[in-house]
Amino acid sequence: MNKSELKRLIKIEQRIKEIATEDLNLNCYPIEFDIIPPQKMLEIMAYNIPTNISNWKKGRDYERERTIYEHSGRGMPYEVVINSNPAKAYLMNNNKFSVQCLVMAHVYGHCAFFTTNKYFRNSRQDIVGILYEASRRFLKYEHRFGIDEVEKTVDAGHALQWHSSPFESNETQEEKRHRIFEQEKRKMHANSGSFGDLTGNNKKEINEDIELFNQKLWRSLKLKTPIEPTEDLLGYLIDNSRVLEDWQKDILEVLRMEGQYYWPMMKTKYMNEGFATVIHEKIMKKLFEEGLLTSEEHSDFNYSNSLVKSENPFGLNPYLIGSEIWRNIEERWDKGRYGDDWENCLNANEKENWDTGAMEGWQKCLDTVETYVDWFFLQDFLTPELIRDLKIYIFKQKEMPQSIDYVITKDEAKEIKRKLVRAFAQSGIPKIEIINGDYQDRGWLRLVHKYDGIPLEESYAKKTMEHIAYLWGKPVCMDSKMDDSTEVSWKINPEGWEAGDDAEEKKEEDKNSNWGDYPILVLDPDPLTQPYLCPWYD
Amino acid sequence: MAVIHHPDWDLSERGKKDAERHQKKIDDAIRKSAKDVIAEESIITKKNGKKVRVPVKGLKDYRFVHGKRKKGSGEGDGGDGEGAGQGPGKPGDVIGRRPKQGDGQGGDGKPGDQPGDDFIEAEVDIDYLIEVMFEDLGLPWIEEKLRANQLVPSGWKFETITKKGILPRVHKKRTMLEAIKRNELFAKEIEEEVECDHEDALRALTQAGGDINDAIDIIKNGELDMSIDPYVIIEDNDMRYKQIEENYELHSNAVVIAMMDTSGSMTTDKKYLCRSLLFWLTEFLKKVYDFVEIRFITHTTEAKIVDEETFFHKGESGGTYCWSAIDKALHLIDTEYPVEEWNVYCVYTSDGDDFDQEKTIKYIEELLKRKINMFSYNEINPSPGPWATAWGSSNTLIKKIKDNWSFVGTSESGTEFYKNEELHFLLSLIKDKSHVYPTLKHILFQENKK
Repeated sequence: MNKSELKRLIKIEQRIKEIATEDLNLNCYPIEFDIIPPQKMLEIMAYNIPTNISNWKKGRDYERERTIYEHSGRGMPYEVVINSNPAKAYLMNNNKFSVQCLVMAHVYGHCAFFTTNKYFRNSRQDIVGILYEASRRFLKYEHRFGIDEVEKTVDAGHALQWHSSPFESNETQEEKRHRIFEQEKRKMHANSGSFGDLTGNNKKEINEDIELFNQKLWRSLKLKTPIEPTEDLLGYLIDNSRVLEDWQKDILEVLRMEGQYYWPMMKTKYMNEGFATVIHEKIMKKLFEEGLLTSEEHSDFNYSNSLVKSENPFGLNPYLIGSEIWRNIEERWDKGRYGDDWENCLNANEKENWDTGAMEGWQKCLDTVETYVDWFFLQDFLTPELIRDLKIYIFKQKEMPQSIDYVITKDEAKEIKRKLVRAFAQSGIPKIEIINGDYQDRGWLRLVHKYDGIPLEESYAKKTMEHIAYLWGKPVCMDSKMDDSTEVSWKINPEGWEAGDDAEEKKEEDKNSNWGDYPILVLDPDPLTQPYLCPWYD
Repeated sequence: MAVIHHPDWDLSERGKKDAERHQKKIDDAIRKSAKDVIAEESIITKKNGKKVRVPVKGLKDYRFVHGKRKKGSGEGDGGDGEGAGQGPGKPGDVIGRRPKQGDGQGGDGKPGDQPGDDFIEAEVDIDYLIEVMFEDLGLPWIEEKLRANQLVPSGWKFETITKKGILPRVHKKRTMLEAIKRNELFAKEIEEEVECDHEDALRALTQAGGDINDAIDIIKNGELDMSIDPYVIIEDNDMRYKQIEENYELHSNAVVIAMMDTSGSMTTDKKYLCRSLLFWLTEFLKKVYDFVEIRFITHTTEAKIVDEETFFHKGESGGTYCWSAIDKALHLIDTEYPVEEWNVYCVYTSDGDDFDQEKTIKYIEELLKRKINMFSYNEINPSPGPWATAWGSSNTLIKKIKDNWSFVGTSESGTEFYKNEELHFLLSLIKDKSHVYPTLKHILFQENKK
């Protein structure tokens, strides 16, 4: 990029910012754009955040990205943005000028989303700095305690970091205990109060000796760990494991925080990418109208934009689906096509021409950005008409004599919506709770998988339990279900699986090795956490 | 200013550094799976190349993820290989298709699993694989004490000095020495003849250009030029030349005779197992002992001595006379590798469908009489196929051999080994890929146990 181009880019960036904040009424942190070579972009792709800690997995990802790029020249994103204050965004120096503009506009969309959406409220804005400091500390740990030990801890942390939301309460153990105590007591009062006979379950003897009961309850709460079941696996292990060294706790805490940082991004991927796509389309349109870009650049933009929004027969494109939903919201609320009047109108002709001139569309979008997450967003705004317009279908893999076929099974909008919403509600992370940290009164850890119709992948679950056993230092048990009626429970000792389990495990692993084939409604197990923009189905 | 341009980005490439960590993990994984890897087709079918691509398992980051439901548990949401996509199409349309694994050849009906996800293809040096296996196994049987008696050319050396030769091979030092010696002798003679001092004698000699008679005349006539500094004069007789000769080294006198049945009953699978075994055997031996000779014999009803390339890459078909290969081996031993001078190891692989078992037994007897160091018979018997039923799978050569000699049997990893220590006679039965490794171990490390 030469000087005059850079000058032009800086000027256009100014204008984009004006359009975003004034015309579109967006609220953004300041953004710093860095222009970087492809090699640097490869690194960022692998590390998510450029200052992230060193680890063999990052190396593996780097190698993968590099191979794809060097062999095909593809797979490179146009941009990466990091949710910090100021936000950091990276532009690749070999992109065309119009693509740079597209990307900058897109970044403003993301940044507005980060700033506005309430699920990002607890995000650490200083994540880049935190990780930078952490990676330096971790290097020192590697020197002092050996690379293998550090790697083991980091691997365990990576395995569990998705289970901590940034909305864990800040209660201390003592506060929590009191709260539970009060809750339990209230339950008793409900049962033994004046209407107790109506609610049934009226235990007279407790009523007579309530002091004694309270005392017993309090004592049992004192012994209970965790006081109430917790999904924050890393948080609990850090606080309660008796084998972890301080440096290990430090590593785990950093990884937990990284997971918390990604958490809202995973929950809002479709909204976020869709919103940013709408924004860049709006801003680019304005730039063309103002004559800031040439007609040749306009065609470059159209081409790149069509790649971003292409249909994918084997998966959903968040840029396309998200942006179409936003556009639909804007249109409906502009024309007043919502509410009881609209719903109850049965006259097709009237509906076709329905326009109250409300023009509330954009405001409705901004309101929606503030409070929604993906599954809720789909639930409320993915209308049957949209599903038909977007040509969404459900397909299944069918085993034929010679091949595996992908066959479309469903295209009824209602059914598709139900499935999609459900899949998004799970967002690819099974719900695992720690229910007892002193199981069998021997300090074992007991976990429960909250089965919701989809079982755990057993080989993965067992490997993950090995990580937990390493952190816990004592046997770890887990209950789950393989289907609606088959309950299973696994137990692992810190030394490894017991002989019988091991043999079974090997068999399972072989059987399940085709897991990766499923481009599945169970959402991507390795979520694209960092928002970035790339040609989707290339 | 919100747009920053660093023309000089720090490309320290820590990605590369971490990629090395990942590579190290892959190496470890290869170590762990070396045993499984050695029977991969890709290794021996690849011609001449020293690098092979092998699938390595593992290296995933495990976490709790959703799996698929067991079959027959009813319709569920997600799992079951369901997905959502976009595009034109109605229920029943096939939007994509991929072949099952194995291209129908194996046809074991297993739902295809693409290695893409579960496996990483790693490029490995064959030498590295061998090293890994050595770490697992220790060193094989041919011991140091056997490494003697064989003269092997190892380049050229200069040893003898001659008076005749070509100028480039002049031995300067020796030539100079000869010249000085002769000059001193001449000087002494002059001293005695004309009674002058040593220095004058040398000076006269120099003045005379080396001719002793002229030098005597010069002194006698008092024509000696005292301004001359004496120096050594070199004559043709003084010239010494180096002579080059071939150089030899002493090496092991071991020979391995690898024999393989390439008859019609040897299906591709069987031949492949044979080759796999012998391939690794030769690779091992070549790696450790540069001068172990390996000879290759293939046979149908007739045996042929072939080169390595042909042995591993060519297929044949026809009837089976096992004795023909052993006959060829006997011939080799008699003509080129007499057992008095050579350690002879014979390895024979076949599927045991022999047309003339009696004769084969006689030839084996003959071979064992030669007091060779080892005879190993490996029978490849994958699964009872049409041939096995036609001939009766229990009626193979190994059975016949077991009836004729007594063996001590052991079993390992689902396959059987027999040995007769006295005769240095080993038998093994290879049923599938996974038996290649234990068999290798059985053959290579038999001697060590003594």
